[in-house]
Amino acid sequence: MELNQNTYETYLLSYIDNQLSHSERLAVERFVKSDPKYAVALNDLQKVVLQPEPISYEDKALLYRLAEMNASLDLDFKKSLYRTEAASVVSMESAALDTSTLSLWNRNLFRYSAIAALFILTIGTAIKFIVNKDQAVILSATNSIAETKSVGIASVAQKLIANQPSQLLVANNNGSVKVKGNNNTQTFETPSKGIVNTIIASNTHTLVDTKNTLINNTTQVTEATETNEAVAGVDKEQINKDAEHLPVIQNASLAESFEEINTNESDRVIYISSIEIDSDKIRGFTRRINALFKRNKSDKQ
Amino acid sequence: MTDKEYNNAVDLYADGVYRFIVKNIRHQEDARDIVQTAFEKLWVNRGAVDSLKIKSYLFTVAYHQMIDHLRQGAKMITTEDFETVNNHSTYQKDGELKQLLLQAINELNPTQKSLVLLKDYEGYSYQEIGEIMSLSESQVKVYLHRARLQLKNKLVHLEKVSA
Repeated sequence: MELNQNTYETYLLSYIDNQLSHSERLAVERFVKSDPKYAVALNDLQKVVLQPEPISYEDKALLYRLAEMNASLDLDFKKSLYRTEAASVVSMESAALDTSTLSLWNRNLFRYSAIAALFILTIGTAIKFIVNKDQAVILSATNSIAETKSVGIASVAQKLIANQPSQLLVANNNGSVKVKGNNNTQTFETPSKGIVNTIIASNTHTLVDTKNTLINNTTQVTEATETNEAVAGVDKEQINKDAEHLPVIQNASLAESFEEINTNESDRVIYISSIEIDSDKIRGFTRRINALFKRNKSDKQ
Repeated sequence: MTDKEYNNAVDLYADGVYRFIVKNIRHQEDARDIVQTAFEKLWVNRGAVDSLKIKSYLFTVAYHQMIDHLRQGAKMITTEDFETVNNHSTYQKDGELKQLLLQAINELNPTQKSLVLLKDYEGYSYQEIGEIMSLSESQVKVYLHRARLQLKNKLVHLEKVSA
């Protein structure tokens, strides 16, 4: 292919890729000097050539085969390798310099110590303990409810939810609360009149379910108030006013405790109770352990 | 390949293979997995691998592992992307071109990106790249040239936007 104004781009691309012979390179350089626009074109293409970056593979020590090294490599290199593999076992360094004086038992002991130290170090870096804000909010909210349970219909409901599961709690507009169980019905007097409330109490004692039940209460209070307005002939404004005074509704911290769940793949995190574990670090840990065991197995073979 | 050559290969090529993979998939832990798998395969098959083909073997295995990984739908968003996007308006003069180029490269498809990385980082010839990526020499040339022109156009565009 002849170098001309129609084909020069291909030549320039091959030029920056070092795919041309010496004579072709000289021809391209002469061609570029013939017109400034070709020099600009070459300059633009040279800008898109990547410059190598110094990126290193950190777990190189796990890739080496130690059996072969013990036979062939110098002591300094072996020493550095042992230091990498078991950084915390400082006392090993002098012993590792002269492995020939060690008994088989001692050598194995050092190896297992190194693995144990690596295990502990990796666990330490892989697991981070954090304060779970959500749970702190829930606990705070629960405590607040407990403090105010002596007043209002919601405190009665809360008490019944905890103590008498599987019961239907009905608050009438005359200010009383009826609890319909399987065998009996109980009535509680409340200071707030005109509240109509229906709560399905579930038999759970976990914080999350308690929170959900209380939120359901809030919704159902509003719905039930409107439903029974015509039947009971109760003033709607009065009902709403009473509903606003419910401790459950007033507890703003419950509403604030909601948080959008992060489903982003790059933020993969495992939550166990209040412990946050980075899944990437767990993967790194298991990969390193796996590499160690595989290498030891193959060395023995 | 001898056992000693294997250990030398770790010294010589582990960084390069890792750089090639991590620049492609942009996820460090996944890249480490792939590098480790490549070296495990090299060790297992050391008897059958020619000493002169060790580097090529490692890149070939790692490349195909990476393709499998990408086919599994792995996500490729990392801090680097975030920084590239969010620091767009605060590029320093010295690193501006490099940042723009990284941004443009991230928009290439995996094949084009691998071609550019193998050529620029490792200095492979078209023929060697073709062997690694299971492409013909002419395909490598055409695809790589196309990627270069795409990068050039993108770079010109980004320079105008950031100016």
